[in-house]
Amino acid sequence: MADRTAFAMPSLGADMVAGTVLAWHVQPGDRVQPGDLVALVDTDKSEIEIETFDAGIVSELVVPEGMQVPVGTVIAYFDPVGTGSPRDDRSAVPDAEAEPTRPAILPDQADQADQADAAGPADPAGEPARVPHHEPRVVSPLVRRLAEEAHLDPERLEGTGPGKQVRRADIEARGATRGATRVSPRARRLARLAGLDPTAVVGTGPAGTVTGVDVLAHNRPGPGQAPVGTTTPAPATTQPAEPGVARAPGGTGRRDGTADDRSRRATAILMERSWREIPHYHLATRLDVSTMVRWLADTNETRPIGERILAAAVLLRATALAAARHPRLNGWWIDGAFRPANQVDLGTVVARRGGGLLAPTITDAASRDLGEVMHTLHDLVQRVRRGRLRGGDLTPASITVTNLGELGVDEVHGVIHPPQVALVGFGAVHEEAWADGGMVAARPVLHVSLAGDHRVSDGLAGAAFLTDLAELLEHPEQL
Amino acid sequence: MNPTCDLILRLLADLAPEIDPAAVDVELPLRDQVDLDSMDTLTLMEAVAEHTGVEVPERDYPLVGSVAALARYTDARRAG
Amino acid sequence: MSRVTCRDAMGRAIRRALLEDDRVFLMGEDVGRYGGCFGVSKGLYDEFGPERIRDTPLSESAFVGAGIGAAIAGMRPIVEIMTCNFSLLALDQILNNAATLRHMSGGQIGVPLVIRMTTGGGRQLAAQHSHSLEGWYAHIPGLTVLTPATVEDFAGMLGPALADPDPVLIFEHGGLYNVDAELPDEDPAVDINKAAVRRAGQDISLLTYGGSLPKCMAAADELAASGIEAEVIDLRVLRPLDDEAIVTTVSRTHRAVVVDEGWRSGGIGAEISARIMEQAFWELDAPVARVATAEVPLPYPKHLEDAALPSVPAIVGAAKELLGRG
Repeated sequence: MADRTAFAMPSLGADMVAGTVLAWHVQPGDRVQPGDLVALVDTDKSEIEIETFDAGIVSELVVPEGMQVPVGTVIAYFDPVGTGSPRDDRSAVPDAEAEPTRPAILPDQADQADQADAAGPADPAGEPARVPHHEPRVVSPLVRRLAEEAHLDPERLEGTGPGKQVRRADIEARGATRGATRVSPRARRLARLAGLDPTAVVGTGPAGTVTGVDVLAHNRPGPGQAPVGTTTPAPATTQPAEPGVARAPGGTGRRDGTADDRSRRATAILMERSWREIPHYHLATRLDVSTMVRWLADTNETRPIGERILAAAVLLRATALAAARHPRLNGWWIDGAFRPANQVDLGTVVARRGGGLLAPTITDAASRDLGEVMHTLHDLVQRVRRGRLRGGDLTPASITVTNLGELGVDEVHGVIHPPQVALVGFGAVHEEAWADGGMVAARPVLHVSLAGDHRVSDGLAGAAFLTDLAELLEHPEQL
Repeated sequence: MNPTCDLILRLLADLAPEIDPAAVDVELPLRDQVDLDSMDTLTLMEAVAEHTGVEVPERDYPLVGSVAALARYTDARRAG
Repeated sequence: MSRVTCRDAMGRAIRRALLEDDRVFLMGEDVGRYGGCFGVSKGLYDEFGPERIRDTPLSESAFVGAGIGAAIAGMRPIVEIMTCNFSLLALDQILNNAATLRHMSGGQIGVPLVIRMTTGGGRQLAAQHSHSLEGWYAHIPGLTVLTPATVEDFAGMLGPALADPDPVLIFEHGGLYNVDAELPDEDPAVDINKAAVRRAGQDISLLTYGGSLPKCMAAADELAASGIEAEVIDLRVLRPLDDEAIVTTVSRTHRAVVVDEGWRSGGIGAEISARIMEQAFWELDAPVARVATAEVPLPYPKHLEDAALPSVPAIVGAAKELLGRG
């Protein structure tokens, strides 16, 4: 009791007679050092942070926030450091409330104080304090600072110095296992945007530093997604694909395939005819699309959202240019003869919400630039999804592209839409092992396939088409 | 519920009329609950940008996998 | 298309400038009969004569001052200073006259002067011939500071430098003169306002210029063997720095090593590091690292000189440390 320090409302100016505690900066159980800011006080003239000139452990906050008290009123008590637990002291002063200038403590604050005490020092009441000597332990300023940085309390450590004094090595040894989490600036920014506590993230940087990629990994839904920046950055669905269609109808409660029987039947008739009549050949190749992925990321970074380009548009644009160079793949087989098309009318496959597929056409796609293809595709998808296709959207296509990348499928061996003679299939962009110049590296890889009608073209023509397509995709900036 | 969450659910329902906003768990990944491809995602982000002024760059997509995460992100960016 | 060294690329560029514009002349110590201390102007004296290829006395202050006067009077002089170490004798002319006259004259007088000088060490020329002072000049408003690092830039930077209405300094790293590459016969179009991405990568950015570029490319190869894809940025122009390129690469890789043959304290690397902090702090996953020359006058003995200069292992080590792979 005698050791307890009373902390009184200071006089912050000759004319100050009373102050209001606006906010406490400490809680019962906190250690304070001379110079620590303890509370924010309103003097009617201004708000002033008040500091303590004594060291100790806060045992009670006597004045609740919002209360005005005269100068000189005790507003808090500090227990001395290192002389047993605050609980012991509290039990030793049952008459504390009888002190005349002391306002009644609010009940909930008293509870808080109790809880804080209970959660604080580990010594149960009545047992001898862990620290063998009752005089305050000597802790050097350096050790004190290091301990604070490592969120350790030097008073509660067993030191290895003389008289179990805590030395720097003791802090460093503990700090190595418990040390403060380092969070990179980028990780902090990402965590703030994600509403995360970055210190809760497992860091993989040097000395366990939490880096941006750790926050992204922490926040990423579910396993199995490729690293950031290497796949189409969209929450793609992963349901099984139906052969020959670009995008399965999906969504909760409509995955049974019965939503649109009429559309399904039309597809069935077409595909049956294709498989019966068209002698297909299939070619496939793997492309390192690092350039495209990076170009898309860079391009979209600098564009307003309304002008962003999706990978799908790049693939369509490249296919259109390649098809224009390979007339044997761009046209129709009608009445036993091939009729080349005089422009590339590019068929796409778009799923309708509520089930079913539509294959709207981007007419004369080879003469539209990339931005226009993206714009057209965007509009087309909107119209399909809203069931408001225009007449021109259903122009018969001269070649079709199916893109199963959104479904996470690697490779498509497609079924040609008769009377067309070729179908180009794109899979998902995944990181794969890629050998180059005698070294293996992880690269974003895209599988491209071609289904060709062997009555019109052969593997040689198909291979030349794929080679051209690959070259076009290597230079997305020129598309 | 957070008003931004509400807004996003409305935009989502407008984009995909078959979605019942009440059935969407805002804390769970959206991709596990509704069927959105990259074009849908772009359309949703455009709508969010139009209504809130916040454009989510593609590199931040991994941060906004759920409705609530997107709302937190949007609010954080609006707050500066 | 032919195989050309950096030395010949610069010589070719000077010749082209002399042919295209009769206001252009070359002036410096031994640039005429001797063909230049580093052989850059070999043959030009015979072709263009002593009026346009002028040998000067050993007085940097005098001939740089003469170049400034000629530029004010309407000529387009190219002044060669043997090494940047000796440019300090002309520092008063460069800083107090060339860089400031447009400002002091209220825009009435411009100094369309190009000063070329060698820079850098690594050739056992000891402490008075080996220092890298381009970072100092990059401190001075009114100057443009170029640092070609490729054959293409040696060939293509002089044209736009001469077209600039204000003084432009070109720092040619002595170690690059013998580096060769394929070069088209026509003049390459070079944008002297922009940095260039010499190698793309997503894991870490190596920001460098001039003589340190080949070291960074070699370091990037070595890092790739450890699965680290480094992006190498050739800054190309140290004043004004291409902030956009710096921010773009750091925003992609989130880690940066600045490699600079100047001394560490107060060097251009410090400036670049500060700009990253100012403009891309929230993109960083690690503190910016610097690889610079040891803070000593550059030693003559080879092993000591090698130890003092930025090296491939030092760059690789700094990069790996930032990635926690040290």
